[in-house]
Amino acid sequence: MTFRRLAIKNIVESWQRYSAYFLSCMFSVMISFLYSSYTHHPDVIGDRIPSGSSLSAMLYACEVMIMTFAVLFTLYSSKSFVHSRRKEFGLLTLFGMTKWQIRRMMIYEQMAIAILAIASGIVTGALFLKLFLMVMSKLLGAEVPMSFYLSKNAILSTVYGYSLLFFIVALISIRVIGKASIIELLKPRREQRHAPAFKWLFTLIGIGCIGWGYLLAYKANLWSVFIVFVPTVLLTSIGTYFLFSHVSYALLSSIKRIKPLYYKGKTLLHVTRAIHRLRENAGVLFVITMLCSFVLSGTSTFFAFNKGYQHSAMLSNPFDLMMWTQGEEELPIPIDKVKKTAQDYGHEITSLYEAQVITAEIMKDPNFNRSVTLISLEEYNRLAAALHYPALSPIHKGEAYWVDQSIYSEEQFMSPDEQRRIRSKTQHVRVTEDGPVYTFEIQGRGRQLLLSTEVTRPLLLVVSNDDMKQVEGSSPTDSIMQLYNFEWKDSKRNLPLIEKLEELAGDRSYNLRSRVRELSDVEYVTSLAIVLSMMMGTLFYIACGSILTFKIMTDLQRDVKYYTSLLHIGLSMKEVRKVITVQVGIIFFLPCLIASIHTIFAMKTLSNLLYTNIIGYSSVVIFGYMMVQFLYLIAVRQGYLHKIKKQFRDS
Amino acid sequence: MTLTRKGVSPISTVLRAEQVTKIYGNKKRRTYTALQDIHLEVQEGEFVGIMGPSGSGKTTLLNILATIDKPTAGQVYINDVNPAVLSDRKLALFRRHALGYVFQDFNLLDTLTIKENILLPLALERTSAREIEAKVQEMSAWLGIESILDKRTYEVSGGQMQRTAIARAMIHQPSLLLADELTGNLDSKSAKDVMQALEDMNEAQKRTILIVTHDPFAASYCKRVIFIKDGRLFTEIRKGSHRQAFFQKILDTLSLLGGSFDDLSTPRH
Repeated sequence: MTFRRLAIKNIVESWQRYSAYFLSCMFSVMISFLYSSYTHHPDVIGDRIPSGSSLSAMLYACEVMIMTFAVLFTLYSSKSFVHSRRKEFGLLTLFGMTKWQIRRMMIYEQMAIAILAIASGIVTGALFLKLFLMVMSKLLGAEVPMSFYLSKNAILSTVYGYSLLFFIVALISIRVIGKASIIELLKPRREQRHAPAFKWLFTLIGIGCIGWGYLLAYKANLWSVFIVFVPTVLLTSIGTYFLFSHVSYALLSSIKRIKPLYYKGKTLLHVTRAIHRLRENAGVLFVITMLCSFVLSGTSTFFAFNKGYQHSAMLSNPFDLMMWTQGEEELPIPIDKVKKTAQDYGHEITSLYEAQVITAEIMKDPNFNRSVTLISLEEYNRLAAALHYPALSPIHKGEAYWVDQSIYSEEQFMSPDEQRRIRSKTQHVRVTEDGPVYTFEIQGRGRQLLLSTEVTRPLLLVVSNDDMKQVEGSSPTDSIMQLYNFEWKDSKRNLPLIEKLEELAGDRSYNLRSRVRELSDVEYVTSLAIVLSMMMGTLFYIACGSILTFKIMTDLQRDVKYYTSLLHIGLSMKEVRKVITVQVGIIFFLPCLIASIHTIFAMKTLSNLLYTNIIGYSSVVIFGYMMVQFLYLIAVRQGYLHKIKKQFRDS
Repeated sequence: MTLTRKGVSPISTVLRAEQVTKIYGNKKRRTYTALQDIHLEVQEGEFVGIMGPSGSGKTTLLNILATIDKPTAGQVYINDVNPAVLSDRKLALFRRHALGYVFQDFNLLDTLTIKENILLPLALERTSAREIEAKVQEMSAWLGIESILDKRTYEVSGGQMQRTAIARAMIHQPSLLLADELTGNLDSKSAKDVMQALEDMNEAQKRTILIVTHDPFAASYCKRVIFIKDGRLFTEIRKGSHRQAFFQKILDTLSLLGGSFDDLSTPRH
């Protein structure tokens, strides 16, 4: 038998051991291939995809990260392969194989796996390529979806890149075949990994760091965030590490002291195992938790921004379409023409509300000016009725209502001095610098979005009809605006109609504002962010997935022995299944759970910054991640049960 | 407590195997008969050893008696219950209640202390904490391992580990203790300690014990030794008053039996 045959036979025989490693390699090849197919796509190179080239740069970065991770992962796994095959190497040496021959055999094995992983990675990548390109086109808002295109360059760069990578890893990994004597190799290794010594000091540091970090995150605001950001991340990271290595021990040991609880059923098994596994794997769990927190926070932020933009686009456009003119301007499109076009597109106009507003400024002293929009009470109430908002009660001449239209209250951003002035009961208003000054007594204040804040000022002053007439008479026509608010049926799918109207308005399409247009603009802006966060998420799944799978694979032999022992003691298969669910579940979900709490606090900071509650959004992201983890857990448990059953029968 | 049980009914049969046959092999290939028509009865309070050369089917027999394996033909009754008819869950419960099992490689859980290993079966039965403490004390005193209760498995000797395993197997007072080559991984001093502990249990507490062993020395502690060869019962001998004489009898029978006994401590796992 040649070495090559022996190597291939080894792989075939111990497929179980190689499969996770192989799948992980294949997956990174596949992702790299997809990304590089995208960057090599003619549409992207030819700049036919909106913001396609800027994404290319980021995808290159992603590819580099995947490669880096693949190197680390392959190195780590080959090292632990050597350990799990000690006995085999011992036997081969005993039968006269030299160290160099064993190394050669290992290189053959590694290269066989590499060739297989690269080939199957590219094939699966090609299978998903069309889907990937379609999703990318959709996300990037391309008019024509990118066509299926197998780029020779993409294939070659993937093949070359990964061949080199696997070869280097193989060269490095054979160094691990060390100086151990045959008898040491042949003896079964008693795995007694000792966890770091327990110290109460570290427990307290851990709790303190996390508490402090959370407090900082909770209290952070627009000014402090830049100062506290780094300390918060550092404190939380340190705290998380000690949480796994020491706090967990302290907590679980205290359960040990409550005998009636500790000696109840399987608690004994769970607590002792958890103590061991958490402390032994503190490093891995810490890395996963932090990765998980970063990605969850990142995706939650993008998600929240996207939702937030959508939300504000909805809010700032109360009507389906607003057309406006300033002063003596002609309408960009005559009203009849709008009605007719709408009908042509199958949207019947249900209502049209006209309103006249005047742009003015509040004048308190020379240093403080703030624009306001004046509207008469009558017109305000008419628009409010159309939007089902409460009406304002009549006022006298010289009185006014103060209506704040901003989504995030502007007062929050003002200095205390400015706030005091804004809150003053008497406000002076003028339209032009040398025009007359009007004084209004504020009768009431409120927040209500009525007119698009893109066109009018965020601050609305509702004045009596008489006052309005008077101001109008003394103002230059330029400061007077006419607003035409349209509403029509089936307003969600009217982008084609809007596009047609914009076309009709020509270079005056600026005077049209529509909700649908703004939503589609928002989508365009945020799509890039979403694509990026998805790429990040994918990377993260590869990283965490591989680390966890590998962790479980290296411990498999020991764990199977443990669970088989339980069967021998007299636990039923069903009970053992429950035990596995809890014990593997802890490893899977604890990092997840802690990362979720971290994320919630990070989102609290973000909420403080944005003055809106986005914790709800991030919980959607977290829930999605938990579901994936759950499926993963089930798969791992099946693997365990299969092995344990086999071992139990054989014993 | 064992005495009161004995008081109610006269000596009862704990284990009864009738015509147990085990045939390995698949449909196409040649089959291999590991056990053939084994008939065996163990009464309450007995201490029985099963001996035989390598490949005689000892471990197969023990696995069948321990309900881990099922016979191809024949019946096994433990306390007049046929485990073959029980569902998987019921069988696990039955095994947990009625049987104690001691392994050659101890099968202790590394994550638990010696004490926790011993009390595990009681914890699974949801016995109260106070009762658990009392029983652990009593059992460890019997086996002379009180001083190592808080140690970990890797901090104690093989003999201590095996006595821990015996304590774990006996703490819930099973009707029958089964042991597979329990001295196989021990040096002679430890083996002696362990066998003496078993003998004590049998004599003072009237526990029923069945061991499978290669080791004539270990077997000499039994009251009765059954020899099997090539999957069939060969003979059985009983101990008189002297262990030394019994040991000699066992050696004589073994030489009569032939076969290989050189591999006294071949690991089985």
